[in-house]
Amino acid sequence: MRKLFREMFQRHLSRLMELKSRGKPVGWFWACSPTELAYVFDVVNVFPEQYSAYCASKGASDKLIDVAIEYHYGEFTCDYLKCSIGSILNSEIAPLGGHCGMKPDFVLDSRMACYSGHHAMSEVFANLYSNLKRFIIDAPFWTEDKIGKIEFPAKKPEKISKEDYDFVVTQLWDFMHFLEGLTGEKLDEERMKRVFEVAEKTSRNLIEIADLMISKPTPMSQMDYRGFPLIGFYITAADYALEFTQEALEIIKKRVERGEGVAEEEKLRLLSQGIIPWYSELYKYYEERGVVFPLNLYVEDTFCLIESSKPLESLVRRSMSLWNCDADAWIESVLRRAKRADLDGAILFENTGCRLFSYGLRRFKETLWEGLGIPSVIVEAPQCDPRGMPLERAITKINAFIESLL
Amino acid sequence: MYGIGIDVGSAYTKAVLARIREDGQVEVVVHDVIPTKPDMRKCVREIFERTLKMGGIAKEDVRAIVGTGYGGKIVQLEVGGSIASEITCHARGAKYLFPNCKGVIDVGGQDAKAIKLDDEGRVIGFEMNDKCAAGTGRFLEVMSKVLDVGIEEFGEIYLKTERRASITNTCTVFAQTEVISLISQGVPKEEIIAGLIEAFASRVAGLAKIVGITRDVVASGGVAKSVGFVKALERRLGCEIWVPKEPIIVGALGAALLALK
Repeated sequence: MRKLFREMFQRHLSRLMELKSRGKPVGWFWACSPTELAYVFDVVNVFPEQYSAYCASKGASDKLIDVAIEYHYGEFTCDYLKCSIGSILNSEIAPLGGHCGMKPDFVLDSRMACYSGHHAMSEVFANLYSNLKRFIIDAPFWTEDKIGKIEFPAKKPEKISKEDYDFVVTQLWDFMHFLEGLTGEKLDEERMKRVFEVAEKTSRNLIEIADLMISKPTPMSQMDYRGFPLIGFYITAADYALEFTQEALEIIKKRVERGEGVAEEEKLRLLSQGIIPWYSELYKYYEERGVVFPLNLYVEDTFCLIESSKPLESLVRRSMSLWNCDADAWIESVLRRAKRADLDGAILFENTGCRLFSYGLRRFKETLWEGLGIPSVIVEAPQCDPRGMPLERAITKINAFIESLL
Repeated sequence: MYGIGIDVGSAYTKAVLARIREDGQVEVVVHDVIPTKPDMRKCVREIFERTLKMGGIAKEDVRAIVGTGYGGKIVQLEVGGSIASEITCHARGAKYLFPNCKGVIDVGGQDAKAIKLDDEGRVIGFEMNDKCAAGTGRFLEVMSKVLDVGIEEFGEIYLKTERRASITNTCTVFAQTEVISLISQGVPKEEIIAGLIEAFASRVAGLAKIVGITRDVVASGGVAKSVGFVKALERRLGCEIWVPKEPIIVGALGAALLALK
């Protein structure tokens, strides 16, 4: 699986280089933003958050974070911001040539997921790069009165209030006009249809994989699954992502049919929530000891059912992540899913590098306990800075939790 | 049938030899405590052999060994056996000593833990300090050096002193700076010590409150020997705290009980 993923990632990088060589504009996109449109207009799509996660997994994030801190960006600001800034201010020590992989011509400044950070980070980037164009897309914080109950991970709500729908869709049209101006190309509706058809197939594959993950035994390692946010968040519309998810789906289906699990003997089934500490191999450590993770809410929250017949509605729904929705709207669906997964407990990563994630964890812990009797342990884990997570302490804590479950 | 538990902490290494008597009851045969040395393998070997000797038994008589503490892995490497977390071990040990125990507060050299138990003694929740030494024995050690007052005197001083200096509970190093500043301002050492114990207890009580420990609490770990700390903690939590005769060996005792299981 990892080999397939690496091949897909290489194809993604090749696409970026090829488009760049043809003079196509480079856009920086945040999580949950309408990245499918980058494929409609042949924009070079770069993702600062994914780049930062990549740096952390390669052991390069701490140096980049230090660069940002040296420039007086606070230690307690977002890890992704610090890594991105480090890669801009000292590209020599940054992977892939720094600048999050490629200098931007524009940033899509969206408030579709992180209602505090993305906008502020775009502002910082605009200050660091003169002539950087910014396009701002805002989405509401989705409350139950606006959307009713929402199905996870497809992000299918019972309804979308017309006023809010129109508010986002108007901005999506404006963004497409912005891209028309930038690329000098008119919107090609046939092309858009084809792009969204690919995205639909990819997104359906992702959702099917998520469903298969809760099989017994758990068919795939989290060390593989943790790469899936790249697809869910950013490249659902890429043909290479579709091919990868099809192959992955076939592999997982066969594993489920044959009853093959990631662990030789499943002792405990845990839920994982919170941004993964990208530098650590905690999942591997525990899977080798029979502790598996059939449900990873963070990974699955990056998925969203894209419907080619309703492209704009799909992009509106993309903003309905767990972070940008009232918990009352999604909790029933998540608990149903947790019940199906037949869980013994949950590990909740408190991301000191992402306040947005940390705020809701305690409530979620209580809800899991009250709703399903599932106990949780909260582990402090900045997503990109290994120095903020003493591994031995984390393992001691998780081990004690596991012992209490056995 | 004998079992040995060895708890390798940052300051002390503790061992307990327990056995199951013919009537089926568990009995603690001997226990031992030695300072943890940089060569921890040697330290583990030393306490293991001493314990066997004190108990008058041979290694072959030992059914199982369980290591715990931050050097638990070294126990496994040096004398064999398995590993259990400190949380499980402290819970087991406390429940054995106080069968009605519903919560354990363990303050060791470099960490503090609050553990909640159900009626059967199973761990149903716990919290521990994550990255900071405030609220651990190390905090008191550092302050003891700054003030040039023996750590064992802190408790009595706290009980006798009504005024308490206000001291931060968030960072050992910053608290040290504060203490130096208070000394230079002429604040009596007794008031500083009383303030330190309050700050220390508030930090530990914070962990207990997160877990929801409200009654039937046992204090374990070396710091539980400080009567002042226990009193300050009782005030913070609003309940009586039970202290074993040898609080420092509770973790090793729990490990020995696990070895006999």
